[in-house]
Amino acid sequence: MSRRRVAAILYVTAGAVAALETSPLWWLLVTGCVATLTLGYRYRSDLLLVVSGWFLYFPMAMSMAPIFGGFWCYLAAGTLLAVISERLSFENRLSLAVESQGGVDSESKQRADELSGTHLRRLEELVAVVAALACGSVVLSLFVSAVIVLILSSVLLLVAVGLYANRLASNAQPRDGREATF
Amino acid sequence: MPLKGKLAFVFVVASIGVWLSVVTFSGIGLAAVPVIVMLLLDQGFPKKSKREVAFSVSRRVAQSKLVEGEPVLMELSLKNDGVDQDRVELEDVLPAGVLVKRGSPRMVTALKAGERATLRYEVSLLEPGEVHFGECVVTAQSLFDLTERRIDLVAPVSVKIYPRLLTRKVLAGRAKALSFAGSAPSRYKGGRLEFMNIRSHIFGDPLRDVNWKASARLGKRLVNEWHSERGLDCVLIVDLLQGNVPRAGNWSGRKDVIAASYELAHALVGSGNRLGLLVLGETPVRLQPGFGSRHLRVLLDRLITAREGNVWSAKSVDGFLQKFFRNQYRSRGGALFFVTATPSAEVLDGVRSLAKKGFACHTIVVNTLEEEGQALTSLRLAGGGTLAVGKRIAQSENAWFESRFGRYSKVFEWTRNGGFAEVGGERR
Repeated sequence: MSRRRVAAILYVTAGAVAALETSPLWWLLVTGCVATLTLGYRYRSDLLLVVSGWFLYFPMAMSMAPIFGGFWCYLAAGTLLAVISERLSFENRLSLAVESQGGVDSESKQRADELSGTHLRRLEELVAVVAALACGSVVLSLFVSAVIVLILSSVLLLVAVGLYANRLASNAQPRDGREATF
Repeated sequence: MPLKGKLAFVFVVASIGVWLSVVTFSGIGLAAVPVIVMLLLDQGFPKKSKREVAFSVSRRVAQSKLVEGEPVLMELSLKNDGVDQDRVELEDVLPAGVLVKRGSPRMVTALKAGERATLRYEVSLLEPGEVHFGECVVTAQSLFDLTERRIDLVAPVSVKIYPRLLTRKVLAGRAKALSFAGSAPSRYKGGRLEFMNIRSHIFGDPLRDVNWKASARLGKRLVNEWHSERGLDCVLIVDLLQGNVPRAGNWSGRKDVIAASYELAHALVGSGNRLGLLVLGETPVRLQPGFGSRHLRVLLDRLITAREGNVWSAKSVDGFLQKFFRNQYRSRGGALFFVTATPSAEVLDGVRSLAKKGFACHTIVVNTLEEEGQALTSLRLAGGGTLAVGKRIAQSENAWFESRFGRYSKVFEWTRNGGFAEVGGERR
């Protein structure tokens, strides 16, 4: 998937959101998305490309509300935009290496393709983890009513476990006996 | 490790999301969830590997000597001497005047510990000279590029770029027409130039000099005596002073100056003259006068490695000649050939003072106005009427300087298509 194609997906998404929403505020946000996306694409700026997607968060969540309900639409919109923005930023960096007038060397192309596949799989993992969190929250909400508290506390628990795991890894001695460098 | 803009943005989104959800006690800030999960996945949750970053690079170039514009394959190998890397960017920093013809000087890849990746691309080099490739940037990133570490590495390689050799020559013996016969014995044609006398044979005379007809008539062996050819002591003085070499974008008049100098050197050496070199520029490029094609090759090497600058000015010429001619400096003289693309007052002063000291001076003005005009047009800096006016002004300036140079030296103009032409004379 090329940079152009992912950008086109975001343009189409912005267009769909603009068509579904009638509020001037949402249209303003969609315009912001299109402007930053165009600038980011033109000047190959990672940050602008990432930011452009997040302009659509509230309008997209509102558009998704009829499908996912008033609560889960935020999670769905956030996940979708996180995936699209990250992929766009990744393709932008990749294009510097693989978009060349005279073509690129086969080894460079193959390595870029492999990395692209790995990146896509990691994004799939991201969606899977978020979906698992959402399902877990739904199950738990049968017993406790405060779903939002459950989700956020699960995420904060994940952060705590992650930090703890990193701390453990940092304190671990290297197996080959050399001095550790961090 | 500096905080990346992308990572900062992720923190901002996550913080605002958590804050909004807690304050409003609603799902409005749930965007924080995928963002935080992304951050954790990117940083290796749940296990964190030790992030020792160590790389080594090596470079290989298919040819170390090239003709200008000829493509050459560059290979840059990156080896991971540390732990597995999710994502590595390798970028080769190209020196000025290098054009990528095929491929890209950048590679993005994952690299396992001990693995090697090779970046290949083709470049062509635009102007004669010695180009030094070296610096490359390796950036070890996390897969979502939230954190990165940049390392500058060096893999040096030098490539020499030669001008396209021109077959057109100055007429044979051109140097003689330009000046007097010098005192150095020429190697050209075995030193036989014109018949002088017939004398008796003495032991050691070469057999080819025996005059068989005269010997038969007079009954004793006679040999022809020749006046041995004398070559000129020529010194080529090439003006690569900063500001005297015209430039417009990627185009530079340097290659024309080198082409003209080489063409002249080829003709002078080819007709048996002894030729030295002095380049006015950044580094001291000097070559003691010498004969032959090997000397010509050395001269060409020195010419292309010379760089523009202001350290060796026209004032240095006198000192160089004094060093070369030593105590015969005053009496011996010699023929000097100044090659310049932009005649200037400094070079004019040099020519004047040396002409007064008895040197036969010649000035070759390399006319690059046509090529410069094309470069300016392609850059859209000038065109149409502006360009025509600019060209007329430049031509007038050249004409003025040529008339001044003409008082102390013979003046020639060189153009890429037309070769040498004596100013006011016919093209050669």
